[in-house]
Amino acid sequence: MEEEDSNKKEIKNEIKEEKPFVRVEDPEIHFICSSCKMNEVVQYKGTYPPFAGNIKLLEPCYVMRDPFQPRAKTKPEAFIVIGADCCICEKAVCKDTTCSFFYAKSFCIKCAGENIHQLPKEVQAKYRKQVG
Amino acid sequence: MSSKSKTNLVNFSFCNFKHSLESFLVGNSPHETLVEDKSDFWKFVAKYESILKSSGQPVIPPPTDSSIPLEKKFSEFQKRFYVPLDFNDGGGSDKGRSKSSKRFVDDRNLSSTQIKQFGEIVLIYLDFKQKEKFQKIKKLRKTQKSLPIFKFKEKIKECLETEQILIIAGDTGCGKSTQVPQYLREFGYQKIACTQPRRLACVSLSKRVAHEMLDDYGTTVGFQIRFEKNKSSRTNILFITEGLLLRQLAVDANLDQYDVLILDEIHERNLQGDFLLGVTKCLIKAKPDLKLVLMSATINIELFQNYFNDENVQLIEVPGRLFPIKTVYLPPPSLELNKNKASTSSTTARFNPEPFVQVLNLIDQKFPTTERGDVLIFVSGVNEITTACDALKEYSERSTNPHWIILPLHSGLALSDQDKVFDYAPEGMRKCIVSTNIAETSLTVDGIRFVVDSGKVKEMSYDSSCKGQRLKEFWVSKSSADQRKGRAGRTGPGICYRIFTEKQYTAFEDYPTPEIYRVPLETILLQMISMGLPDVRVFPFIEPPAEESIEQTILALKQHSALTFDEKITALGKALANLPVEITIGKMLLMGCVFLDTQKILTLAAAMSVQSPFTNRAFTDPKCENERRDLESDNGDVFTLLNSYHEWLTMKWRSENTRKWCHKMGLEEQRFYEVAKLRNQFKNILESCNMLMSESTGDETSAERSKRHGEVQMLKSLKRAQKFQEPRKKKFLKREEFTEESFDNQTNDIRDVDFRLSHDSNQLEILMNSCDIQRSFKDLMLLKMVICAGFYPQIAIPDEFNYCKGGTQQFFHTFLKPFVSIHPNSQFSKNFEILKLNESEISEKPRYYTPKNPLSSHHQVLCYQNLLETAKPYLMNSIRMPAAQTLLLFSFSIDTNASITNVVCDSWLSLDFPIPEMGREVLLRAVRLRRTWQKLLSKKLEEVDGVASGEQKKEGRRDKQIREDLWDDLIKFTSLNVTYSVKKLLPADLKNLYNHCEINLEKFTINPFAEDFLVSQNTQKGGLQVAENVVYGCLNESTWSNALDLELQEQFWSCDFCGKSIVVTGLKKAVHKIKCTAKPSISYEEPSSHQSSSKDDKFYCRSCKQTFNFSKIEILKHKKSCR
Repeated sequence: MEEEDSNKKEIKNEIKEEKPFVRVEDPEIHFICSSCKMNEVVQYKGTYPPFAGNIKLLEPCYVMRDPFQPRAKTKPEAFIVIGADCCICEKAVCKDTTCSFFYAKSFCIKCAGENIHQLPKEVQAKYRKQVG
Repeated sequence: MSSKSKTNLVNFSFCNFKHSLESFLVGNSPHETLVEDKSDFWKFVAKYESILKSSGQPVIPPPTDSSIPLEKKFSEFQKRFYVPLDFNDGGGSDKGRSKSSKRFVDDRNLSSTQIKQFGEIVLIYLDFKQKEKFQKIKKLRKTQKSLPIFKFKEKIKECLETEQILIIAGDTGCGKSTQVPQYLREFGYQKIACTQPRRLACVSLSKRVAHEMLDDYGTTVGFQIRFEKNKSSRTNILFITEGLLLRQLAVDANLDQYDVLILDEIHERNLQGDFLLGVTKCLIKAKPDLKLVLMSATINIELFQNYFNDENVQLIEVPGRLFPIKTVYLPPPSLELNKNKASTSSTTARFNPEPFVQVLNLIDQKFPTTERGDVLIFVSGVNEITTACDALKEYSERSTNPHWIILPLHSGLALSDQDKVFDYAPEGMRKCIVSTNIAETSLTVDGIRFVVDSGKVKEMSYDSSCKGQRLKEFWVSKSSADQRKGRAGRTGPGICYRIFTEKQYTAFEDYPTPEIYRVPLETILLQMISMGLPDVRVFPFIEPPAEESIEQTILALKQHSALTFDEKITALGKALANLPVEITIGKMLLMGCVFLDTQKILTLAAAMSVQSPFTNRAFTDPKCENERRDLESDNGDVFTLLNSYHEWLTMKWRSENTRKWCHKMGLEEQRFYEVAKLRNQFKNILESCNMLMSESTGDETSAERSKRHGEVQMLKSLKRAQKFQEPRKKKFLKREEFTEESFDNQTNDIRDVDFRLSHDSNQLEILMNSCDIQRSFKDLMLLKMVICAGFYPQIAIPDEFNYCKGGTQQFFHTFLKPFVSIHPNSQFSKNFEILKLNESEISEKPRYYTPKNPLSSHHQVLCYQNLLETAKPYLMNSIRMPAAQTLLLFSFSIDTNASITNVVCDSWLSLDFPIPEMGREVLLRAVRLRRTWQKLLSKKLEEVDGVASGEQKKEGRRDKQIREDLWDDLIKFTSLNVTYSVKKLLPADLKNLYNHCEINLEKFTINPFAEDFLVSQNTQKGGLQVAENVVYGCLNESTWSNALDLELQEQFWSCDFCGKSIVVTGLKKAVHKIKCTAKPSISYEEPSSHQSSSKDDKFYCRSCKQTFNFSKIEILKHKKSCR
């Protein structure tokens, strides 16, 4: 291919673009929120995201590498928690306040409603405020 | 303060311990840093504390241990468990990372409880940031789903499952360009190409789509444009310009690298887009697996639907998303007054900005500045923008409370200036954008409430009758006017003020004229033929161009030897189709490849292909004119350009601030970068097909290498920093912006960094040499000759009465168009005397030469790059050439009389050579030169084919010598001292031009013009075809040529070689010379006769008072070191 060839040559002539570090292929985990159908590819599910620095999670979550900043080894806050499995029905739910409720564990909004009376009353108040 | 007591925010704040708590935030290694933006974090802490205080909870509860059992968390309320995060300090990570000890804070005034409490605040902050980022994604998805196109996603999927072609028609704002490629990827397509008419759109769309796919820093989405590409093997969606995809098609007709082609913006109907439509229409038949998605605005959809009638096409119409827009017709009062005047032609009337001022005034009266009210004004061109902006600024200044920010917008603006139109006007202010039709489709500014439409557009059209372009102002089409109106309703209801009447609107054309009717077709037709199309006349154009213009184009291609007479593509044609430039420039490059030193030709071709870097200001601002004076060349404007480029490179070489210099000179620096890139592209293409020898890179010393290495490292880190910079955020506009100081800093100029990355000092020196034309006449003349080789027949001769007229009345005639002028910005326009014959250059006439035309050896013609009609027809970018030599070297057909005292070129210009022998000698030399040139070119082109089949021949020394000699001989030829007259033939002259007499072939045992050319009778004109382009003896004799013949018959002629004196005339002498046995046998000159090399110039250094034999580069080096 003419165009391709000349382009290849061009690249050869240029000084090779140095990559900041060797890229390790991330696994692709498909996350779909059972409530709002939010559909994202995340790179990690668990409690200790390897790219979250010194932060761990209270429960296993679906975690995405922060796509809004370039990949680098030593960046803080380079992750986004997208969702978790409901601690009761085990369905995946996203972090949106219309889809899940969090107190020590994630609850899908339905299970949260059904089980809220078992939680402290401050938490019940907060839940009502969130759903309200 | 007691460390055991509770933390009470009434008398305590973490903000007072910023310094000692910093170590908590940073940890023991960079890996442990917790927050990205510390100042943002401390702002959060301050706010958090004040909220707690104001809500009556100033006492922070004791820290919680997150490892307590779940039941306890559920039974006993702990606020801390609203936050799903914790520190991973030595805990059981699954990868065994971060075994760090606890974060250590060295401050006796802080208790360990307080430090733990601080940690909880950090977690709250991080959770807050998590929620922000999550919402960012959520919002992105919500915006995507709210786009009108989203409702059609499933339908698109279904359509593509059953059909091969799908048309999606939707207006701007429906989201088709950004969403459809993503949908296709979701449907499982892996190799998606999406074409765009404009380079800029490719870049910005790929950025936008990558962002929406959360892959800003990856390569799932890429782009490829003329000078740049950004893609990898992982790329699934590629935005590519139409032209580039066509080139890929040309070499890989099956296009296996894509499984879907999306052709976007096909309603624009530009040349490449139309061509692509035709090509893909053919392609899908051959490739049933390939899907084709055509996207267009809702303009003339039936046309596209009907075009694909045979192929079962599906149509999806997506409604746009527009708020209601009120249309107000506000014709200028002058239009009403002048109704009776016959001339309403818009070109004669000067542009009047008053109606636009009135509209702003109207808006000011009707709508308080507290309401939103940005304005977008459409006018036809850059000059109109300047005039309107001045008037509007003046209006704004006059008011007691100036609140208008006036912003010009056109494609000639620097990108950073274009970006300003996206900024917000501050509270109480409004922005008013004055734009060309660039904001009609290609650029979308949100938030516009008022559109003011002049209804005018300036458009380039092509006049095939004079092969000239015309830039004229027209009324826009209905569809353009509606498109402009639509820009007022993107963010809310709007108003469109039309500076014309409703009646005029109804008289507008429905659609704009497609580009195929407005441009020369040479390049596109040649490209089609080279792709293997046997007959371009049957190509399935969506709207075919006129048959006549196709025929004319084919004829022109034949004249350029790109096609044979039976319309097969030649080797030259193939090579031309390979080059991404107009045929004229391509031919220049190829004809230039024959010579030994091609560096200059590459630069010249690149410089002539880019838009001129001289801005309007360069010609209107006397300061710029002054600054430029030293760089101006009286040989042609292109040489002024090369001189400027040389100066620019020299400054780059000295690492000086070129941006500032360009601004001072009124130059658009971007063009110079483009010249460098394009030159590199030419070089690569020509090298890859072996038209050019790839040069070996010079040896560097290790010191030079390591210096360059350091430089490259520095540049790369600069580049990386820029690449990862946040995309430009919208800013608030200021009413007065001073840009002067921004020229002082060049380190943040990405173009400069790129340029320096790809050009080390060796390459810079090569570039500098390649545009240094002031030192060698030989180089200059060769460049001029190569220009003519490419641009012929674009020749103009001066009017015969120019000698007695002033500057404004200098006229020239081209073959097709009489009385054209030189563009007022051209150097020749000021310095027109240089094109006239002065008294001393006019020779005395022999008594038998009766015509009144002056005899001289200094006649000149102009060779021009294009003919452009604005107010008047103008010759653009011309160079001056010696007339006879140029015509004899490049004319397509040369006719002579029997004694070769009269030569007619292309049945247009007649040359008289009244001095005996002269005409014949000049013509013989010209024929020999052009044949040698042609042979060398053919040989090169054959080699190209040879290389393809694996054989590569080493160039012999003899060939090299021939190439060297050709150059020398051409230079000598152009400086021949030959006396002649030039005359333009009139239609009446043409009637009696040819004698239609047969000449006895037997007399021609030897062809003195070209020994290996088989002489034949020319049946059309009479006489004999003696070379490819020469017919001998077909012209009728004139009174004076007969008289000369009589005189000559009485004279003896003595041969230079054998010394014999014989009575012979005309060609017989030439025949004798060839036959003469006493002829010396050496045909090549000794190398010593070549011009002295450039090293021989003496250079005297004023600072060290020494004289050197230096080349120009060495002089610079010396000057630098000797300061």
